[in-house]
Amino acid sequence: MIAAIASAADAPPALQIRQKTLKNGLRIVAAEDRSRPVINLQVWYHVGSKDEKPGRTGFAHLFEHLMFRGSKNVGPEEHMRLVRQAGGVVNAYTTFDTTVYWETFPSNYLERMLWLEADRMASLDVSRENFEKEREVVKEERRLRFENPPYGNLLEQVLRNTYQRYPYRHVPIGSMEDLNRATIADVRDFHSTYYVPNNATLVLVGDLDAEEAFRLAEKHFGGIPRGRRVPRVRVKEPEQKRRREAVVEDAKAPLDAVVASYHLPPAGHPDSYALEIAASILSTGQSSRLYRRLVYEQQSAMAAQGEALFLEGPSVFFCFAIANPGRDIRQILSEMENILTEMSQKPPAEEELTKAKNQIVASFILEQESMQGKADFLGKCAVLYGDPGRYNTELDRYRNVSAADVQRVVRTYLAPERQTRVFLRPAAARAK
Amino acid sequence: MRATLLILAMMTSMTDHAQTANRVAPPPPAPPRPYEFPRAASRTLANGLRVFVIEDRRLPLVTASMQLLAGHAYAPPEKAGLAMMTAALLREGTKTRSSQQIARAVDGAGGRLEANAGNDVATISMTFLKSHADTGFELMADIVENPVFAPEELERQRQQALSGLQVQYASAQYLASAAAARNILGTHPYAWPGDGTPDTVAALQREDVVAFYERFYAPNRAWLVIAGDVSADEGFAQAEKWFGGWKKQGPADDPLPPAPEPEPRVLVIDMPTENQTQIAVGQPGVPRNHPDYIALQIGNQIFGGSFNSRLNMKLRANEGLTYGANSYFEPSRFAGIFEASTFTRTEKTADAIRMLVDLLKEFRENPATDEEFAEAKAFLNGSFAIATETAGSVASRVLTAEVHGLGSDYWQRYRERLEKTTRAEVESAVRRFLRPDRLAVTAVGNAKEFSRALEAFGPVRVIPAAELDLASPEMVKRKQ
Repeated sequence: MIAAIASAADAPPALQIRQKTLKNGLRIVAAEDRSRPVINLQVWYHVGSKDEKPGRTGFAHLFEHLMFRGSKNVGPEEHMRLVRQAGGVVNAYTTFDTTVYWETFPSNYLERMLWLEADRMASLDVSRENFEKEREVVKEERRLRFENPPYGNLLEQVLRNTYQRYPYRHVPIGSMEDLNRATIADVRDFHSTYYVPNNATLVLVGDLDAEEAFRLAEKHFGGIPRGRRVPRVRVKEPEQKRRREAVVEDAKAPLDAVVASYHLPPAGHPDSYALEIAASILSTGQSSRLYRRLVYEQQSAMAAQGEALFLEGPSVFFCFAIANPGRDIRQILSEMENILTEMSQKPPAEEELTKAKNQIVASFILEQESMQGKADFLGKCAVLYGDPGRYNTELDRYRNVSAADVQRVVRTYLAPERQTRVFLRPAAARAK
Repeated sequence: MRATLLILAMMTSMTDHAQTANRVAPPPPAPPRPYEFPRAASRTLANGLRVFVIEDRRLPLVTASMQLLAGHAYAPPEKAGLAMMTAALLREGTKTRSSQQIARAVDGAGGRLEANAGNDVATISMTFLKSHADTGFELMADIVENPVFAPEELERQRQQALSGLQVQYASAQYLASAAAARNILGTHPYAWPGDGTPDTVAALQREDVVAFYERFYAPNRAWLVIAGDVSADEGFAQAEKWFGGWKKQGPADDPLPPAPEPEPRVLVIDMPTENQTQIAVGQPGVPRNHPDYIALQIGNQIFGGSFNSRLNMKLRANEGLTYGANSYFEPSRFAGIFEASTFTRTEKTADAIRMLVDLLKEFRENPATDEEFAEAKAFLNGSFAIATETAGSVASRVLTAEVHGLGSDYWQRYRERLEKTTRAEVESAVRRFLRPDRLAVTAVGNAKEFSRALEAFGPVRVIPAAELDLASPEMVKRKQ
C-alpha cells in the first residue's frame, strides 16, 4: 500500500476569524463554531520565562499560580470555584514566551468568564501568607517533575549547554534558590509591567456571536488602563561555530541517554516548515528513520527521537536517544549523526515526503478537534506569529515544502559544527 | 445544614474577605443551549460482533475502536504483562504484512493504529483521514484477525518492555501506583501490574501469547465503534466487509470474583534518593455498573475530585504541602479501586497522610453540605457537553456503556439520573461504601524518614525498591 497524498477534501473547514483591538490595546480574536454549546476562552499574556529578571528564574510560572490566589472581587481559589459551578474546566500554563490562562465552559456562561479574567487583569490581591504557600506548591511541582523522576533534569542540562546567552538557558520552572528569593514586591512589579491590556490577547472559539463577544469584552476589559510600553528581550544568542559537549550525571536514571541539540530560526520562519517535515521523517511513526534504524533494526536504543521546538526567539532541534542496557551511547549518537548526514546529502524520496506531509496534515486536523485545540493554535498564530489569519494558511506552507527544501534545511541547520551534545550517565555507572 | 469544620473555616475566610473588599458578584448566566448526547446506530454481525456507528461530519476523519475482553485480568499473575504483550504484538506482523510494511502503510497515510490492554479489555483503535479510511479499516482488521507473533518480534518487544520497566522502576510515581493496586486489592485479578514485571516479561513464551490470543480474541467477546465522517450505512458496510468474515468463538463472559474485604495496612517502598514521597491511600472500590456509582461520583467530586475539593483545598491551597491531591474511583467490570493520592516533601510525609486520613473520616461523617452537593452536580451536569466534545470521546463513552453493561440509553439519560440523585442518597452511599478504619496506605520515598510515624495507620511493611516483586503474592523477590 503506497498512500496517495492527502487530498483537498482532507482540508478542515476554514475558521471564520474576527478581530478587534480595544482602545487600551487589548486584542480580541474570535471564531464561531456552533457545533457544541461550548466555548474555550484564553487570555494570552506575552510574557514567559525568557522575560524574567536575573536571579528570579521561575518567577513567570510562580506568578501564574498567584493569579488564582485572589483579585478585587474574587477571593483566593474562588476563580476555580466559579468556573466549576458553571460546569467549566480551567487551567493555565507558562512557557518560555507566554503565559496562557484558559477556561472551557457551557456557552451561556461567557460573560461570567470574561468578568473573572478581567478582574484579575485589573487587580491582584495576594496576601503574604498565600504567596508563601503558593511558593511551596511550586517547589513541590519542581520536585515532582524535575528532581525526582529519572531523566527529569535532562532538559535543564541541555538548555544550559545549548544557549550561551539567550534566556532560554533556563526552564520555566526555574531554580529552587531563585524561587526562594522572590518577594511580594516582585509580584506587584510583574503584574504592572506585563499583565496589562496592551500585552494581552483574548482568544475565543466556540458557540458565540463575535459581535456580542466583543461587546462583553469591551464592557469588562475596556476600563482597564493601558500599561507602559512592555520591555522585550534584546539579548542575541551568538552563532555557534564549534561543537560543544557536556557529560552530566543523574542519580535516578537507569540507562544512558544522549541529546544532540542544534540552533534553529524562530517560530514561523519560512524554513520552519521544512524542518518540521524533517523531524517527521526522522521520528514520526515506526517507519521513521531513527526508529527504524536504532530501535527496530539495531535494537540499540529503547527510544530515539528528532524534534523541533519552535519558540519566539532562537529555537532548537533535539535528537534524543535512551540506550538499551549494555549498548554504547556514543555509538548510538554516531548512528544518529549518520542518519542526519544521509539526509543532508540526498533529498528524501517522494514517498517519504508524502508520508511526512500526510502525518502533519492528519495530526494538524486531529489537534483541532476541540474548541480548545482550535483556540490553542489561533492564540499561537495571533501572539507568536502576529497574524491570526495564518491559522487558515499554515497547512499550505507544509504542503509546499519540496524534497530539496528538506535536504537544504538539514544541511544548513543540523550541521555537525552547530551541535551541542549532552551525555547523561547514570550515577551508578561512576564507579566503572 | 451541618457544615464541617473545614468548610466553615473556608466560608468564614471568604465572607470576611468579601466584607472588607466590598465585592461585586459575577454576572448571571444566559439561558443554556440544549445539548443531546449523539445517538449511535447499532447492529450485531452474524459472528456476534456488536457494532456502533456515530456519524460526525465536522472533520474529514474516521476513527474506529474495538474493545475485546482480553485485558490483564485474564492472565495469571506469573504471566503478568501477557495481555499487554499480546496487544502490542498485533501490529508487528500478520500473515501477509511484516511489521515494517504495516508501519509504512500507517505512516504513509498519516494514520494512527494503536493497540494496548487495560484491566478488562484490549483496545485496538485507528484514526485516519477520510480519504484513507479504507486503508485504516484494512490494516485494523488484518492485525486483529491475522497476527503471526513472530519470535523475533516478540524478542524486540520484550527488550523494549524490559528497558521501559527499568526506567519505570526508577520512578516513585510509577511504583506508588502499581504497589497501591496490590496493597488495596491483594491478589485479585485486577491487582497485578498490567505492564508485567522484569521477571514475568523475561519469562513470557511465544506459546503463551498465541494461546492468549487464540482464546480471548474473538468477535463474540468484542465491540466495535466507528465514529466520524461516515454514515451509519457506510459504517456497517465497513464493519461487515472487514470483520464479518472473522469466524471464531471465544469462551462465554464469566464473571471475575468480587474485591476482597478492606484491611488496614501500610506499605512503604524505600527509595532513599527521593526528596519527595508519593502517597496513595485507598480501599477496594465498586464495579462500573454498581447502582451507587453516580452517587459515589458526586461524593468523590466533593472529597477529592476537583481543584476545589476538600482534599486539594486542605493539602495544597491551605497547607502548601503539595502540587496536587485528588481522589478517584477506578472502576472495572467486576470490582474497582478507590484511591486518594498526593505527594509531598519527605519531611511532611506523615503529616500529609494524617490530614488525608482525617479528611476521609470527616467525609464519612459529613459527606456533603447543600452547597457542595449543588456545586458537584452543577459541574457534572454542565461539563457533560465538554467531556463529549470530540467524536473520539463520544465513541469511548459508547464503548464504556456497552462493555460495562450500563444500558444503551445510559448517556442519553445520564444527566437526568444525575439530577434525580438526592443529597441523602449521596450521603448513604458514601457511608455504606467508605471504610476509613480499614485503609490501605502506600508510600514510596525515603522510608527511614517516615516509616515509624506511619504505624498509627496499621501494620507497616517496608520493602526496598530493589527487592519489590509486584507479581509475587508476598510482593518481595525470593532470596536467591
